Parts: sequence; C-alpha cells; structure tokens
Amino acid sequence: MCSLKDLDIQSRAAVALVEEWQTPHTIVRAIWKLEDLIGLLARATAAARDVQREITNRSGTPALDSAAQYNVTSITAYLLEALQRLKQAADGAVHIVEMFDGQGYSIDGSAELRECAAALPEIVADVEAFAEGLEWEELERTAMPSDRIRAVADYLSSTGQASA
Amino acid sequence: MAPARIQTGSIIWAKVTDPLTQAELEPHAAIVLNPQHEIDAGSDLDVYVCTTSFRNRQPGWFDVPTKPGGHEMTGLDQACVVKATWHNVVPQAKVLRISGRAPSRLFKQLQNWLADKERERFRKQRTPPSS
Repeated sequence: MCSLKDLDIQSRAAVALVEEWQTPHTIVRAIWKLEDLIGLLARATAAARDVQREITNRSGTPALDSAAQYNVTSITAYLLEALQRLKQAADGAVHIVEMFDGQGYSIDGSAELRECAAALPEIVADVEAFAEGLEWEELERTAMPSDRIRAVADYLSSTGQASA
Repeated sequence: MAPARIQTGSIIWAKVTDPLTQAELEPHAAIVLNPQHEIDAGSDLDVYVCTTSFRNRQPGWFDVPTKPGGHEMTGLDQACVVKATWHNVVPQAKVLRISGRAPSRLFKQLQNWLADKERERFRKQRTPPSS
C-alpha cells in the first residue's frame, strides 16, 4: 500500500512530468500549428493567384452584357474581400513567425510565407485595377447624356447655383 | 502614362470660361462627363472644371486625387477639387492634353450629383409659382 509520503512524491513527480511535457510540447505544437497555417496560407495564395488570373484574363474577349457584367462585378468584389482577409492573415502569420524566430526556433516554410505576404498586395492591386476597369465599362455606357447635362447646367445658371 | 484617347472620365486640359462672366481663362484640368458613344462620335465635351481654388467649401465640389510629381491615375500634381457648379463645353479639337482619368468612385459622385440636380429641376418645374 502506498504511503502518504509516497503519494506526495508521486503526485509531485506527476505534476513535474506534466509540466515538463507541457512546456516543450506546447511550443512544438504551436510550431506545428504555425507550419500548418503556413501551408494553408501558401495554398490559399496559390489559389488566389489562379482565381485572379481566371477572372482578370479577359483580353480579346467581347464586352460583357449587363447580366454577365453584374456577375463578374459581384465575383470580383467577393474575391477582393477574400484577398483582403487572406492578406491580413498572412501579415499576422509573418508577425508570429518573427516572434518564434526571435526566440531561436526554426519554422519550416517561413521563407514561403514571406513570399506569400509579399505577393498578396500585388494580387490585390491587380484585382482592384480590374474592378476599376469593370466599373468604367459600365460608366462609359450609363453616364448621363449631353442634353441632360446641359439642361442641368442651364438650371444651375438660372437659379444662381453656377459658380467657378 | 496618359491615355491617348478621350474617354468618359478622362481628365483633359483646355482653356475654359468663367460660368458667370464668360471670360476666357487659362487652361484648367477638367473631367469629361459624356458617355463614350458621344465622345467617339466626335461630339463637343461636357466637362466639370478642376481648380486649385477651393476655400470655403461649397456643395458640388469634390476632391480629386493628386500627388506631387503627378498622381498615377489622374496625373494631377496639385491639390484641387472638381466643381460640379462649373460646367463648360469643350470641342474635342481644343483639348490640349489628357493627363489621366478620374477614379470611378469620383465619377459616380458627379453622376449622383447631376441626377440630384436633375430631380431638383423637375420638382421645381412641377411646383406652381406662389402668388
């Protein structure tokens, strides 16, 4: 039968073992999670690049009708939202990797992560430029015609609202 | 690089006239308002004039993006506004140069302002004068 003293020693040893196990393993697990995160971000960035190319590669294609235009505009807005979120996550992950680097840990894929973080702003800029082009395609068609613009200008002059 | 052809929303430079005195002024930047089919047909351009004079802000004045050395989209390098109260008609042959294009968001603001003023005009036409 175990004495109280034995129980005391064994329980202390167990606590010590658990603490010993927890400390290094917490970091190991954190690094594993981080490496999983880097892998996820790398795959997501590659997917973002593919989607961006697929959506923006319209050179030589005919002008879209209004329904198709609305569809592409919606998809582009959705893509931009996802890209902004991905960029935010990648920036956050870079920050975490830098913290681990500072503590002397080596993280697999950290160089790849930095490449992703650097590539994402370019992808975002390309999609934003594409979205701007889409907006203009619509505005070129729907802008107010000259006769109505001039009627408004005459109205402003006649009501004293025109000014330089 | 500035676009070679005039488009809806292009920022052009041309001599303009004062809307009150009709005096001809030095070249100003101005934003082209017409739909593309009118521009392509060679019509005179309806523009709202940009100016660096914008103290005492008025309704219908909108900020235009600028940057020292030339903004990458507008090509403009001095802080300025476009005044939707300052309409001019510019023949395409009188365009001195195209410096860039307004952001679509700014152009939409101008279109919304135009639409608001058009509605205001219709409302006033329907309202009988008070005796």
